[in-house]
Amino acid sequence: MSGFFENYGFLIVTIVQQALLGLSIYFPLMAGQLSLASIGFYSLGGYVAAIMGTHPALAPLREALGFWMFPLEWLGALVLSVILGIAVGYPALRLRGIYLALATVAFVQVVNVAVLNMPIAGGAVGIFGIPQAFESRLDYIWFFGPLFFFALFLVWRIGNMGRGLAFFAVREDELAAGAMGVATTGNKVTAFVLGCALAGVTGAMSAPFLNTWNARQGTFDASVTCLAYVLIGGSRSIWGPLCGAALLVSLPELLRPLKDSRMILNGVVLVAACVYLPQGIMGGLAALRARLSGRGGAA
Amino acid sequence: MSALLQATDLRRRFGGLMAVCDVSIEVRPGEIMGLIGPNGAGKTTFFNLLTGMTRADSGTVVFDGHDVTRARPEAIARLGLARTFQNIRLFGGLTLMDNVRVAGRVQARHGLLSGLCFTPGSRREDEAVTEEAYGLLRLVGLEDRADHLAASLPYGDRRRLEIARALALTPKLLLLDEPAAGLNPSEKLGLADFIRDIKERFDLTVLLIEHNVPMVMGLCDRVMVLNFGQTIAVGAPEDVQRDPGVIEAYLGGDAHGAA
Repeated sequence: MSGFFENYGFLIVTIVQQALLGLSIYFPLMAGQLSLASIGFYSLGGYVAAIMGTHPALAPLREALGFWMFPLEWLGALVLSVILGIAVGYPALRLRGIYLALATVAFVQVVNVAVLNMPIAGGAVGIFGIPQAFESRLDYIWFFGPLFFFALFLVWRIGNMGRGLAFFAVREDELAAGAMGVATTGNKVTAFVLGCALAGVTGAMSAPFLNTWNARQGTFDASVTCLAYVLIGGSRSIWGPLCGAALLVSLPELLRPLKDSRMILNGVVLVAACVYLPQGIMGGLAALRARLSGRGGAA
Repeated sequence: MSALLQATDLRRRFGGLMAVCDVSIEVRPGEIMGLIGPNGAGKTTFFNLLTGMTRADSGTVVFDGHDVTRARPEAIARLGLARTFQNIRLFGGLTLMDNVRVAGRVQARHGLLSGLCFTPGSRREDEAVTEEAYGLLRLVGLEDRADHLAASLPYGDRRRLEIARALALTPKLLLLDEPAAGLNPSEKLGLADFIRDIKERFDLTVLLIEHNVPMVMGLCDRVMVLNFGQTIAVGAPEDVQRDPGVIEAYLGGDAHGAA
């Protein structure tokens, strides 16, 4: 059993880490906003942690704080993400649907080009030798695990308390929500910033986990992969992002015996999931449960 | 300053079309006022101007002593001006209960943070809102379907749910955009009684757009007639009915009469 965790510890933690990115897309989706900006905030959060962890000027601070340097890095990433999220959110959320998605893709590109040209971020090479928090990769679950459960709690609680209804009302019909006194812009920005903050902190935790950080962390490909977690897992269930991340992260590993042809099968699985499970895995399970209990169509 | 809603010289142009041209209205507290006119007369645009969903090019709107000409829709709604839509806009993916609770929660003092921390105040408030929403669903006879999705309702029930949702804002003025559209004759009769009933019960003022002339004549204290974006008559229903301009607009005094 210990061999299993030694071999797959990195994979398990990566699933949770990627599920967090999926959840960060899920937050704006609660208010009906399709945003791909998460990866940009993830990348920035990682740079905050990488710079705070390696910059020579901060050496005395690291010395003094020891392990507590890591929470401070998270806090730095959180503050930056919230401020930037509000600054980006207010103008961007005037756009709807596909235009918002495009604007957020553009934001990710801007972040990417900006960090490539900032000397403090190490240019194309990035930042190496970021101090480690734990000996073993698996131990990083103590970073990502609690954050994941906290994020799940947030999603669950928002969905179940009265105030969360404002998000859903905006998702269902923005004009009618306004007519019912719901502050549409405020709620959209709140949902967006929650996602940004989660992505930023996830990035800050990921920098030590991955040891190096560079601009490749924040590419368009990564944005689309995050969206795929939510869509394949199910966009109307809080477990959807975890489900999607578990499948998409582990699939290439499980298919490793197939060598080079594994990516073909990987693609086939994704296409099949889109065709046969349009509501994602969780949506498919809900429909199946409804059919088995004989109610049908209740999903 | 006795009017609850006072709009003065409202004007709105869409490209080459003058949708609403210098229309004024005064709605007095406690009355039921009708807004009628042929299709395309600018009635719905006028509602959108009053509720902040469309910006006026010029003119002013004063509601309950506040100038709301440039206010956002949610701010106007919170002042107590609720509306329904001609093409019913419910939150289809939410339950009937949640549809009504959205508006009730808006006036809540406790925000996101205290809800996340499970403060007793925010829980009591949630319970109070739920209780009130249930009462409103009972009023429109939908309480047994409180946990169904709004999208699953038949047409007539959607209209009633939309009115219940508007009432959850505890409005002073209720704007109804063609509440009888798509209802059968017996439902229409019931609707007039229902509007009178909620007006008394909630101490409302009502402004409604309606095509069904007998219903308007029987229900409204005063009627205003729009045609081509302009007011052509205001007054008691029986006077308006005899007005030559109104007869011409409805029966076609010229080639564009039906446009």
